Amino acid sequence: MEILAKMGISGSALLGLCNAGRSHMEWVLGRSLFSRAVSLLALAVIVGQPAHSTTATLTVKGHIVSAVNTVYTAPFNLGVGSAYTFSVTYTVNSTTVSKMTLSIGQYLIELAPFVSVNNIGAVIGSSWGSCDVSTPCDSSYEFGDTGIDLYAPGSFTLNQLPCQFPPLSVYSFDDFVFWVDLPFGNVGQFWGSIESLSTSGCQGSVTGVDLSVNPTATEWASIINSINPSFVIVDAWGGRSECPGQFIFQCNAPTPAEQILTNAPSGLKKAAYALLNYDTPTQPGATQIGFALDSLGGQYQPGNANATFPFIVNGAPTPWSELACQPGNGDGNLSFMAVDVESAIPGEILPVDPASQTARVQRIYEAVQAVQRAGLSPIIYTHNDASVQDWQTITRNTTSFGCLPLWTAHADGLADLSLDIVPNASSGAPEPWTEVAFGGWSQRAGKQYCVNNTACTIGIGAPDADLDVFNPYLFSAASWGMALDETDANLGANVTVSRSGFRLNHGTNQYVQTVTITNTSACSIPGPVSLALDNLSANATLVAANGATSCTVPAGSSLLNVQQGPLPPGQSVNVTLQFSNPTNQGIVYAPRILAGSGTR
Amino acid sequence: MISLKWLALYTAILATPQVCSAGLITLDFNLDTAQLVTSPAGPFSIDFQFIDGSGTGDANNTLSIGSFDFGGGSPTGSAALTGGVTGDLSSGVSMIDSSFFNELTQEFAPGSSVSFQLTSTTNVDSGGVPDEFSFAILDGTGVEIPTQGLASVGSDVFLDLIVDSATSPSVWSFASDPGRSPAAGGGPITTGPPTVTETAAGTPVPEPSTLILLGAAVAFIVTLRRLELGVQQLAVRSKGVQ
Repeated sequence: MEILAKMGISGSALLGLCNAGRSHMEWVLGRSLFSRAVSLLALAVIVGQPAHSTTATLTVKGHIVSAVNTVYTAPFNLGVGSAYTFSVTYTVNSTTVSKMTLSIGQYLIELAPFVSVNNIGAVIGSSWGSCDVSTPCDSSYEFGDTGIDLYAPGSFTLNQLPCQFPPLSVYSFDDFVFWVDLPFGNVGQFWGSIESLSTSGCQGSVTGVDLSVNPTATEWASIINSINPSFVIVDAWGGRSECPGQFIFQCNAPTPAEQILTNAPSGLKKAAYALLNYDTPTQPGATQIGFALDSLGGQYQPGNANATFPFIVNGAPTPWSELACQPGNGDGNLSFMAVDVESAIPGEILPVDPASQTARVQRIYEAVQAVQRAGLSPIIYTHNDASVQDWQTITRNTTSFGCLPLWTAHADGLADLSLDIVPNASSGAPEPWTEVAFGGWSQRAGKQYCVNNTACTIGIGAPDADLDVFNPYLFSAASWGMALDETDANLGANVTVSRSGFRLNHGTNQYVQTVTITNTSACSIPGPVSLALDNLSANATLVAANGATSCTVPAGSSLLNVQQGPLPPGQSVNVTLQFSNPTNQGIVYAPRILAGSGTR
Repeated sequence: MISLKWLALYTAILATPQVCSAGLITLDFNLDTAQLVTSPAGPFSIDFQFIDGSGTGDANNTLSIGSFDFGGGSPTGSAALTGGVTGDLSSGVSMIDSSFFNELTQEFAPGSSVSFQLTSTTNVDSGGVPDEFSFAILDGTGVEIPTQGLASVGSDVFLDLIVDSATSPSVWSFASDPGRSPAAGGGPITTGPPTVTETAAGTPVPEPSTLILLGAAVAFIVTLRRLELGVQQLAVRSKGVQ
């Protein structure tokens, strides 16, 4: 300081430079854990306060105790029409249940129309407090304060189920979960194991059309008369355009996606697909999905937040920025966005060396994640049968996307998800599709059974209309794929993750750390909410992990399910991590939040 | 030479804000340990842990713990030290997060209370995980006696200092947990939360890395000054030759 003073720099000037000009007293009283009202000498005492606020989510547990049908094999389908009885004891402060949802495996199923619940909420007794079913407890639920123990012997009946979907052979969580929306805003849940189930039952399928041109009114009438479609899937372009050899931004022809969606008859479910290119280094998958979203009406552009169609939710124009709050099935909303993986330019020969194929797989990854970031559910479209092996050529038959629904092309004119007519088949009868399964898929969610008007006549000129059969689950009211497959960074302002330091617990010889996840957005983040630990130090192991990521990038990260239910806006959830770290070396990892019902 | 002087000035200014960003926290701690005197769960040990949040042992925070008073009791045996720790319960303890895991444990004969004064620098680690100091009492089996800290911070600690802010680090204190018995046996220990008070804060201190930077700047200025003087003396000497 003396030397600085010789140079004409005073101490007060230095304080000003570092914004420390406030008094020492102010600096002390500014400490957040000590009352600003307390003087320096009237010292604050901190006693046992919880480190973080906890969510008010109500959790209850139960289990199925018996089932009408007792055949259980894995994988299995729940039996349609069968009643499954269960019992559950839970504590709530009101007996009115406004909504329930059933989750089986990793998939959410809205009760209506798939499931009926009978006799839920029978009151057996009250364990404490003076409230009962006729005198509800106070509306502010306080743990250990007031409440009613409800013993709810009841049953649910499966009215219908998607055929061969969801793939129940994959389990990331408990077998089933009921979500209970209580009238005062809390969400209750109970879960357990499915002990015995029927293998029978299949709802069927729905048919529709995918289009890359905008039909005239006459052509729409012809389409409706010939197949009475349940849905329309529009070509959202993306990496390739209709102009031969050109990309979308090079083509002057207007993209018809928005017009198709605008002119489609009301009542049709809507979805889109985006065809990727692999030969333009400046167009990673996310960029191409951006083009595709642009073609749907410009909502992808941040400056065009007031654009409305096709994102009309509950009859009201919905800015793009709010779409993440909506499941992908609203009125006019998109049920899914298919990432189209095929070699689409006639004569195009893609290199088949491993490096090129790996790069193309990465591009598909980017596109899938961009679709998810946009709040849409991704599926894969490709073509890989005896005549065309696009998936093999483009990806070297990677199984990395086997957790996404698959939509394939097989132009046999047979609107059947499970069966294909195979040329030169010895029996001449349709054969199960699984005989040509690839890429890790054991079943498909969609089949394009008429391509370019071949084998079908629907009154619209080839080559612009194809017919499809789909598992209706993809167009159902359930937000099956509304997975926020997002990293903390990608979630941006939506989620904050706060971590404490570590401490070694001598009782368990494990290190513990508290992590708080806060939803800072205006939207409810769908459950389950999971924490992935990316790049965890090799010397440390997360104790009691719920497996590892397999479908999200990076794969292989230790995974912990933080809570089953959704995380409402403004609320936080705490989780205590435990690490085995026998060498006492540093524990380092990057937290990543995954939410929704999608596979991690 | 004038431009070099300004360069030195800028260097000093650049070094200065970091000096101001670090602080000190001083806490006086007092815990009633009267129940431990007759508890069969002993012998008991003091357990201080200081764990580096960066995971690299960045040595950017230092703790000193002294003014021990055992309320008629006394430390016994010798301290077991791990990582960047020196001292013991008699002479005082110094801890630095030069390793990931830094710990002192030492047996003591409990008296009516345990009190000490803790002073820590408050440099916040980068990377999102803060340095954390904690105080627990281990029973005869080497396991923490139960406290209500388990429900809040995941550990049976009486005191938790999380260096998550240079100006307002988080400080938590917890009572024992009357619902759980020590692993070493005996009934649950029932003692209220410790008294934790913040005493007069010390002068903000620089991080070690900042000290180096500031030292370099000062040394640079001194060197410049000497060079300047040397040139002037040389010029005088040259004039003399002429």
